[in-house]
Amino acid sequence: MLGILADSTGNFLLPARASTLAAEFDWLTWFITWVCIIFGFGVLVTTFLIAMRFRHKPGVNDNGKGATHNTILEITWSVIPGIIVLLIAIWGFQGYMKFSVIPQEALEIQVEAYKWGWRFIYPNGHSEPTLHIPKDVPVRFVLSSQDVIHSLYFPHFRIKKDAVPGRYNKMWVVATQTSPLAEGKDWTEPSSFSFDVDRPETYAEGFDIYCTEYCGTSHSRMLSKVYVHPTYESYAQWLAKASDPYRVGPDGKTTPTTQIGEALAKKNGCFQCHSVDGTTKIGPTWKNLFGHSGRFVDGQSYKADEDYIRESILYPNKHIVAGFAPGMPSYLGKLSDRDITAIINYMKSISENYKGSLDELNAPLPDPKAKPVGPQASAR
Amino acid sequence: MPLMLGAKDVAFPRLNLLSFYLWLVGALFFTYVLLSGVLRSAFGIEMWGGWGLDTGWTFYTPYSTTTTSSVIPATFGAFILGFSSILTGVNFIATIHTLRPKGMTWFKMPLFCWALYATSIIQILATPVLGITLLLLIAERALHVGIFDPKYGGDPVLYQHFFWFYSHPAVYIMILPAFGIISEVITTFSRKHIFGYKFIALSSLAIALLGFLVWGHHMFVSGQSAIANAIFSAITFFIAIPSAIKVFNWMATMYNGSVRFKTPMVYALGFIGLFTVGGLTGLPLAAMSTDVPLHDTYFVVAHFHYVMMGSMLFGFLAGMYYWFPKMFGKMYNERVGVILAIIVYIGFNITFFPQFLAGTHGMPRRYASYPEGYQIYHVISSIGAYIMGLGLVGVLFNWLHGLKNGCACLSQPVGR
Repeated sequence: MLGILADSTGNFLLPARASTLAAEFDWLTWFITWVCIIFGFGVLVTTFLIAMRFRHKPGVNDNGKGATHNTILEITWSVIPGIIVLLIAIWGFQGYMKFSVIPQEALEIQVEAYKWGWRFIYPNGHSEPTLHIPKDVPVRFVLSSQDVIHSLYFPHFRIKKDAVPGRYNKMWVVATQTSPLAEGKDWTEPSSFSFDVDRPETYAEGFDIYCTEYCGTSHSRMLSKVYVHPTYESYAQWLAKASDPYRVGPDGKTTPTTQIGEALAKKNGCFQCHSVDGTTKIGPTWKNLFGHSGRFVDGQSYKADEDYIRESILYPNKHIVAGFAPGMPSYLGKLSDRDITAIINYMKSISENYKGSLDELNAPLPDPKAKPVGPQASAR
Repeated sequence: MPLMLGAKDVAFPRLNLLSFYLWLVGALFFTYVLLSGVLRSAFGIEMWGGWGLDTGWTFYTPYSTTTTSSVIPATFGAFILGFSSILTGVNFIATIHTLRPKGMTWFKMPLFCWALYATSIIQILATPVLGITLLLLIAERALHVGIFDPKYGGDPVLYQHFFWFYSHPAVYIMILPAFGIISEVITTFSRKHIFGYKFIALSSLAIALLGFLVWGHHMFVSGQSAIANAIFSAITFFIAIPSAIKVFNWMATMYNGSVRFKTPMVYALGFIGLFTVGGLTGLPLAAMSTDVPLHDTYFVVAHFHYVMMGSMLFGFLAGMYYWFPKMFGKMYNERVGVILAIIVYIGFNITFFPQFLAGTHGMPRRYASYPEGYQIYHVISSIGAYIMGLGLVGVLFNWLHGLKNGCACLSQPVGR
């Protein structure tokens, strides 16, 4: 059963309305719809009536009767539509300005579009392919694209903006309706949200997100969902849980440690310079790195054990492997001891030099209250 | 057109022929690319240089500069087609200026000629911009010169400006001649002088000129500045007025006339119907706020097809039926013609009207698959498309039958 759908559930013309801007836009849409209906039917019916009333009667020679022009009449029917469209133009402009002027105090979410998916990056750096926002709080989106032009479209919020490579586009929203979520599900629990583009049965929850700028083969599968939380607290708790990789899920299990390590490495940009398939990028590959031996530029030899990897992450320029240039940033204070262990476990899992079992690597790491590694902690 | 001006031919007959050959070459080029893509994906047949085309007609960068499909051959084909268009524009303008008979002043010229004159102006002013844009696109793809792709320091939105500077006026290139045809047909079949000749003639020119200043309304959500959006929106609303004038004048022409429901006239009436719907549904797209949710949805597709395909198709069919006896000295079957016109009209509306509602519900354009909620609109739309397709095949058959078996007749049949 779907939960909260509040008052506006959509009608034959428009889908349910879920933002402050939607109300702003919708009344003008309705006004224009009525203008279209009145003028449209007016023209069609009048044309039909004229054609029937003045249809040819056989045997009557009635060529070329009637006026050929009437300036006053013609000016009248130019000016009246002119006034109507001028009004629509002004109202449209006013509505658009409310969409363009973004309040400063808004919650900021970065949106990265790529072929073919969305990456929503929350203020704490956590990223997800679906969007979570709190109800009744202004949210600002900063859009960018990694490849071609995409466009982020929320039909229920009535807003859309292109994600253009090489520039940042911005838009904002205040959601006014909680998105549908099955009864009994916990808003703060990340596993409550199951959207998967390959499984249409997961489409019912959350409001739609579409890509509306053609971006290639999977353009029509570049879908996502926005989950509007009932309160800011619910959103904040969800975010805290979702961004904790060591979290115990509702089934009592934790994510395997090597997967956490891989995710951490990905999130921290390690794979920009280190491959995991043996190819040499800017830094040494991680494949079979653990446990191998080599030499530094100064000729000293080393063996890549846990201490070596730890030092390379925290003090990367202390020793440089022969054949490479210094340049890696330090992750001191950015990764906790536990994070580093998780990454080392991941590196072990992709090295032939590691002879232990995968189960051992995937065992949950104890929670040391996640103290960041500071200079004192690592003073030797 | 030369016949309407009482001239033997256009001003530059050889240029006209060249223009035709260029059109043929360009069209063959483009068709080859499209066909090769179809053969490749459907049957796995490889054709030389043929990778199909997957950019859509807009060739938006940087998609078009990074895709593996045959963008260069296709754009080169379009480039050649552009020359054909420019040369014809020059030719028509020269013809209208120099080959009018003595006594035919500008305001005594048939309205179809006015429409072609306005069209030609657009062709010679806008098409070169498209040509340059396509060359730049080819240069960027082949030589990696940074123009549109941010990877090389270019700006993808610049491409959209260039592209729409041509492609918005291009819409008027297609619709203006249809306006001209409708003005001729309605006059003839109402047995009446056109109402408001000068307003109709000048509104064609107004549309041609204003058409150059509205390209930005395709880019309201691209990140273009709000002030630019506001100006483009305002000018777009202005262009609605000359279009409305034409519709009102056509209605007034029939008033007090003697309307004959012959095939061309039925198409002309259908044209008024479709163009009215198409024009009015342009209002929520021209208004900046309501365009934000509707942009790039099926609403735009429906609006565009009412204005462009519906009106252009109905204008074309009205013209073909109207001048059929003049062109071939044969007559088609009138009754069948009228019935088919009604079938095509109904089919068209069943096809495209549901798309307005799909669009307001958020169905995006260019989707190969869609969430289940949109199914009903697509089903109705497909049924309409088959009805329309059937009607159009019938039209072709009616013409062929008329050519073969139709009675030989005067170039302007009695009773029209």
